[in-house]
Amino acid sequence: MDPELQMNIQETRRQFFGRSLTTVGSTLGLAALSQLGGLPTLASETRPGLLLAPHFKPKVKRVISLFMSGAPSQIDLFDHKPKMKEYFDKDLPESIRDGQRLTTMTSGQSRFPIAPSIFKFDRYGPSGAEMSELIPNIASIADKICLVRSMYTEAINHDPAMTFMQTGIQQPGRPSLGSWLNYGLGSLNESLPAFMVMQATWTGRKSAQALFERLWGAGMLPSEYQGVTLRSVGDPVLYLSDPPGVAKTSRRSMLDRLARLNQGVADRIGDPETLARIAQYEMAYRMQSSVPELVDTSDEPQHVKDLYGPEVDQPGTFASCCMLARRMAERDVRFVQIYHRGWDQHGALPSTIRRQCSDVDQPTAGLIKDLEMRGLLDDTLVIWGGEFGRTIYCQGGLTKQDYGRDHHPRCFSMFLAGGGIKQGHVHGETDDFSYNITRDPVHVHDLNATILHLLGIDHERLIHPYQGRDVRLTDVHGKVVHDILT
Amino acid sequence: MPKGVPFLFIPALTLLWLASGSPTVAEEGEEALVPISYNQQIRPILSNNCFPCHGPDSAARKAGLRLDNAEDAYRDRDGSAAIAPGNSSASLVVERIFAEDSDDIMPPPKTHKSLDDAERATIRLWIEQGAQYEPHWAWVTPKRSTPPLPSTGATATAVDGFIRARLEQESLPWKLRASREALIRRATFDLTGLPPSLAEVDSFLEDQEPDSWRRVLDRLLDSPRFGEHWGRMWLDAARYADTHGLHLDNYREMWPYRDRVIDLFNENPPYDQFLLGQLAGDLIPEGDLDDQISSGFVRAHPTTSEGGAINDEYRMIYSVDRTNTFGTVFLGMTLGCAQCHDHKFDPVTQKEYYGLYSFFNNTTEAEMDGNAKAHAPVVKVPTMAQSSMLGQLTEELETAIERRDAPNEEMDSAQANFEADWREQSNRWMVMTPESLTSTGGSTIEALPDQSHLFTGANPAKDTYTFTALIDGATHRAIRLEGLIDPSMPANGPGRSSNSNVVLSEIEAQVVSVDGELNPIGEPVPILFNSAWADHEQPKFPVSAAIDGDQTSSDKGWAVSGFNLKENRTAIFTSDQPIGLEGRVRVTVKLLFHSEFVHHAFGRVRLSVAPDPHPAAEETRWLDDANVSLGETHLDASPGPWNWVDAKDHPVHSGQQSRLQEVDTDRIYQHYFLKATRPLEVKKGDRFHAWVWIDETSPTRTVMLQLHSNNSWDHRAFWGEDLITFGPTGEDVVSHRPMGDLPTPGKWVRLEVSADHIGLPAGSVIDGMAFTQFGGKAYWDDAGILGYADLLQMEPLLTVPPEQRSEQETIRLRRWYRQRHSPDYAQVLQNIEQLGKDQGSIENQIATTLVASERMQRRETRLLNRGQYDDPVGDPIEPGIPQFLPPFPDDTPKNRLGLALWLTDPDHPLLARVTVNRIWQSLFGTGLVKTTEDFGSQGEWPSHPELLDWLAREFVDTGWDLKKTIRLLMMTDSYCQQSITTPLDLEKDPENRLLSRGPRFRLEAEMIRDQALFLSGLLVEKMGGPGVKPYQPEGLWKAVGYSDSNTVRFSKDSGDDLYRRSIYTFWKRTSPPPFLAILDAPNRETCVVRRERTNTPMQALLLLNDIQYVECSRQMASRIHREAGELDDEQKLNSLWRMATGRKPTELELEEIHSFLIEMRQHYLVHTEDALQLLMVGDSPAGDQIEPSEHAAWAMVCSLILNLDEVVTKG
Repeated sequence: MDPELQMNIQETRRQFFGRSLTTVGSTLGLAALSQLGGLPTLASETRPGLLLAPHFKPKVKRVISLFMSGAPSQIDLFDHKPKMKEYFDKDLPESIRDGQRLTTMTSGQSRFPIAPSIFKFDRYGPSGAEMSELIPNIASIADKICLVRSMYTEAINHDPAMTFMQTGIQQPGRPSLGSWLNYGLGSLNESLPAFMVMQATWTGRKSAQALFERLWGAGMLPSEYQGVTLRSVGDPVLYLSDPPGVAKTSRRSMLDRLARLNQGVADRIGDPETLARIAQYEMAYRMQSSVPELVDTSDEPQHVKDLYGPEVDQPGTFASCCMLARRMAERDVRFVQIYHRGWDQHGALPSTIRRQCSDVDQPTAGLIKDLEMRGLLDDTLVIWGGEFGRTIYCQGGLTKQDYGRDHHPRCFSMFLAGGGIKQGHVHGETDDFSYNITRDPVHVHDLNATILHLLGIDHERLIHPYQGRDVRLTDVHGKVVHDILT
Repeated sequence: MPKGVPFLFIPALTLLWLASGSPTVAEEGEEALVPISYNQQIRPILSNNCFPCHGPDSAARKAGLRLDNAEDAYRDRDGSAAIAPGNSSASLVVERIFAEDSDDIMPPPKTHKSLDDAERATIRLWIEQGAQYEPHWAWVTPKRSTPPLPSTGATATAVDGFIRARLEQESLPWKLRASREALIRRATFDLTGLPPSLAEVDSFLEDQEPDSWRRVLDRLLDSPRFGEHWGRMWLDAARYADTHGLHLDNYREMWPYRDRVIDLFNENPPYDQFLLGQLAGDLIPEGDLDDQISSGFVRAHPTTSEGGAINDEYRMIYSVDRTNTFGTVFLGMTLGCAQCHDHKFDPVTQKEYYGLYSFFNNTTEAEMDGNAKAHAPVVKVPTMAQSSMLGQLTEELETAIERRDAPNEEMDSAQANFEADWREQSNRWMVMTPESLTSTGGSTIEALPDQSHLFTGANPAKDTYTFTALIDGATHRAIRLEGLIDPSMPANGPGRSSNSNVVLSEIEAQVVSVDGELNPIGEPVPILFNSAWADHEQPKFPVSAAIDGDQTSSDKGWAVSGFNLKENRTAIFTSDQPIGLEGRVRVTVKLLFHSEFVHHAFGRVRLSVAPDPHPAAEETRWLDDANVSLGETHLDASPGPWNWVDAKDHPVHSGQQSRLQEVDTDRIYQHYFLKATRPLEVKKGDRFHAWVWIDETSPTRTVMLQLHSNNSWDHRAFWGEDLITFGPTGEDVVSHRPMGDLPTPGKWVRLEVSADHIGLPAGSVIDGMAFTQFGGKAYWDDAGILGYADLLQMEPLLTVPPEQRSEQETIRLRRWYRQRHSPDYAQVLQNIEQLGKDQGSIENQIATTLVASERMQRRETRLLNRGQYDDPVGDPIEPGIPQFLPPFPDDTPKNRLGLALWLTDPDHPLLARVTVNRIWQSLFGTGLVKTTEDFGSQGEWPSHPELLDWLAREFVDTGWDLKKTIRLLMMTDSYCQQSITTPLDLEKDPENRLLSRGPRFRLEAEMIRDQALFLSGLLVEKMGGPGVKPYQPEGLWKAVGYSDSNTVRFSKDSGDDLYRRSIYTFWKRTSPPPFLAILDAPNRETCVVRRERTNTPMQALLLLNDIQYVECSRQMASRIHREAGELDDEQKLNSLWRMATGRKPTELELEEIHSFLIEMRQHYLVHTEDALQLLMVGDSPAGDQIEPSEHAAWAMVCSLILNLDEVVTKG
């Protein structure tokens, strides 16, 4: 069939069902919808999303987001500013700061002395991207990733900045990126949630910024689209295990009877929700085996584990989460998000960033290598970064060996890898102070638009009508950053 | 479609018509018959597709064209008009929406909006028909229309008339009345959030009187459970939670607001009164505490205290939240758009938005919540018990104070005598006149008439003052240092530093005898200070640091808080030994000011000496004669009376008796007592003493005093040889302190040791004392503790003549004196102190709750450009409301109270509609207007517009009575229909918007949990109080929480609190209770007036596996055996089924669960260990009424029942 024609047909189907979802409403759910439209029911196959088909050919099927909560210092990791050595303890020139707002943690400082990074930088890979000694493993795959040095955001504090990054606005209430994907694209997998979240342990400063369930929440979308947390304590998924003293055979028997009893009600009352409920109980039953199978890494050979480093067998570590993320990618979980906390280094940055980097460096590189070895990197997008950057000037006492950095929304670095992403590429540039972007700025909305683009979604067209508005992830902004795409 | 009946075009049904090929409005032949309604058909199309560029937002308007009002749309535009009424071919709109060229077509492709054929045809037809605009229905005061009469004749209620007429139009039949079982279950859930009990079902089945249904409703409306159910929905709208919500997400104490809401729904005040409290309870003239609590609605939004957060930004965020919440809850308007620009769909300009915003931008609370549970302003909300206890305490306190302050002639004259004595004794200090005085820092020294010396001139960073003087030797033990203030010094305090503080790092002194020529005889001897006292010490800088021998640590020393205490300072340094030998001696005193704090030296100094630092010290005689009960006495190693002897035959130092301690051999021998009846509390500078007489003929070789405190005797001082092996022999430590030579035998000698010296700091409580000797014979007499700290503290006051004292000083001194000398008085003071403490501890327990409070002077509000907090533009904006709404009355205050009054005007077009719509939503599953939160252009057209208006009118006209309105709806036949869904219903009324059947939808989260607790008999129906923490999986809070948050660690409650109704569950916003969130409870971060209803595998896992539901299952099994033990299996299963669903099971159903029971029975008979495990899930005991395998089998059956679709569904 002519590809364009097929696209048109899909488009029509999309509009048809897109409208039906929003007008028929969630009371009926998809089961009812499928009855109307002759779609497969929930119990079989995978679950379609709102779009049914993407807007255009997707480059990737799934996303793994490695979120460094607290905001890692771009200056000490990715954005090398050798000139700053000469500026040690000199004031940040007023022309650079240019009256931009500061947090109230440093706005009262009488001066803004420059703290050059004490870490050594080198050029890596054919692209010669400069990276710091703190992340040798990530540096070793410099030719596989695309480093964006010109990210910027609007929020200056953690809570709003993380919320902005993940939901497109600074205040609570909107769906997160993963929820949008879940809503728009549906699930590729019939026995695992489409959107899974992990919260890794960390070893830097113990007192770490909070996370919020809204970061993987569904906002005004139905809650079924929210992220499901894969936990390292207790049940990997909430309430997954049968209660003590309930045998698998008993559970099966109970579910069979439950299904028969509910079917009887469905036959008598005719409410499609009852059928949907039967299907959800079956999905739950499948998750009871698919999730333990997912988290049981005993079948992973040692050489694979070695990619992720020595902490891979400690549940909850970033390394362990990364390997699980790969297992989820193999099982076609649409969106995996790992949160690593502890990057908020207002003081004693050199010592704590070392520990933070040692948590994530090898596992991150290991994940990308592992995905690549399995051919999964071609249709997976990996994103690494935090919610904003940090200031070149020192917060608190400055010595040759010790310094702290405040929040800096004006520029920060992230990197991406995977399908559709230019490899060994560096995008964007900042001034000598890593304070202002001098070339190719990438706004948070642009990043989100680009992520959606890679998944075949026009960010302007993945919408949810709410309170009279067509709400979308990128609000009314966002441009796809084609320069970082192949 | 029946001819002559207007075809109502329902957006929700578009799909169905398209899908089933039904005729659309544009179809040939129908046109002439179908009047197109602007409101119903045209506005939704224009609003969604055209208004963004051709609507109210002037900034976004393209081509200067506005299509949202007739005047603009009809306007001549160079010879043609966008809309030419009656002439579609002359209308540019028609031309453009039918354009083929993508450059011309409207809406433009880049907007991703497009019109379908039907929509285009409808617009054309509307223009053909005259393009009549109508005001938006929701902004016109509702009118009561006559309920239509369906062809089947009169209906039971007016509401049914509207519903049935509409169903007839759609050729949809309605359903029969549901069974009584179904009805009572439906109603009980709708009014109380819980299922009916079997007894209630049975009684309704029996009661066939015509008004039985109404009586059931009235009973349920009167139940306190009503408020717990309907209040809960209000809490979603009010975004109530128990934490602040942002960043740290610490505890916020606000549950009195939640309880108030529950009470209000139960009390059922007129809704307009209810609203006044919510919006402006703090402003109601003569409003009471309850009104203030209600105003918490304004404060319930999330707040932050994140380091670095900017106040202006958050004040804006809060005001925006309040404004938008106001819009959603009361106006059914989505105002949020207008924060940044004129509203694109509804006629709200950005300026008007800030007019509304300004009502809410005028409260007094700080932007940063300080992470405090009581983020001011708050009010205290005492319980009844707390109020009455406080009242009682206040009374007692008044009585006690009266007793304390009453005159007492006897005491007052004794005090006068005491003071006179004191003044005489205070002469004991002899000021030393220096032979020489130097400053290493080169300060200029000037002698003043009062014998003090002033240091001026050079002000070195560090300084040492060296002072020598001649005194009589062997007379004095104490040196007093006075650091005096002087007008010549900076900052008015005693120090020379810029803040007038002082750090004395060390005082050193030495003494040497001098001959007649004043030449030294021999080498000087250092004076060892054992104790130091000061009338003030700065925390971490005690005066003891000045005698610790450490002059080098730059951060140690005595500091005097000179930065805020601008007064004279006194320190006294005491040696255990008299200073120098008899005769003239030269004393050299060095004051070292060597700390890292520069210039921290005294500026005016006077030094004195005294024989004894505390001549008037108060001695507490702990023991003297046998007549006073001491505690538990021991003699040698056994309990028993001591060996008291009389003055007649033995030496006695005090009173009538002393104690003889005699032992034949060289061994340790002692008297001691424990568990003192009058324990002693050590005060600063206290010294212990005892008198001893060592017999000359059989002298003991060592005497020792031991003090018992905190279960330890390790506080010892001894005189003589180191023979007593308590504590480490040979060492000099607090538990074994050598004090020097044995006292001279044959006379009474006072043994004395400072409490500090044997490791008993101020505050230690002493409850025993031992008098120990090694061999020989000794008499021991009075012993106790010598305190002078208090006296010295009062010294400055005592030296002031009585007539020169202020009244306050007089009172202070009197209280001090009476306390020391009158045991009664001490009791009164103690009592007062205790009452105060009790009062404080009750006050601390009293809950507080956040309330609104209005600023006196209005905070200026200006339009924020693009909604940016730091970009205010234009003139200040007065509080006001958008023009399209009824005007704000002139005589109404322009504050929240006025806003509430404006809102509750009986003719307000929105409030009543929005409110009855929410009631409708709660009962029928979907509102008459589906978009509960949006009645504007983009909101959905009401399914029954006339009915909505009729209800709104009825609601207002009957006095804003919520309960009455709820009952009105529940009395309808429409509500009471069966909920059976036919294929025709599904096709024509998939969402049951037309009420072709009774409501049927999944219960809300709280109802599902509460039902399980109710069925199991576990439910604890205690109302109100702090949020409770029932079971939740471990680690949820920790996984997301800020490490320093006080809600980062979850600790489960126990006992009753595990089984309270879900409305009382502690709500942490950043990690809401999972068992509620999974079932679509909102996170309470924003206002929600319409919950989603999803159907997910997570819900299945929750209901199957959560401890709470498993525990409920096994308790439900216990319960049926407890209550129906005599019944057979089938009867019990029948009861369980009825309890859970309200109805009897069918035979097939009964067979299914019965065979499951048999299967489980067989399973658990074999797997008894499994049975025991299952029965241990949850905290409540399993009980022993049922044999475990049997119990487990029944628990599984109950779990199956709790998971039934019908059980989690209101049908």
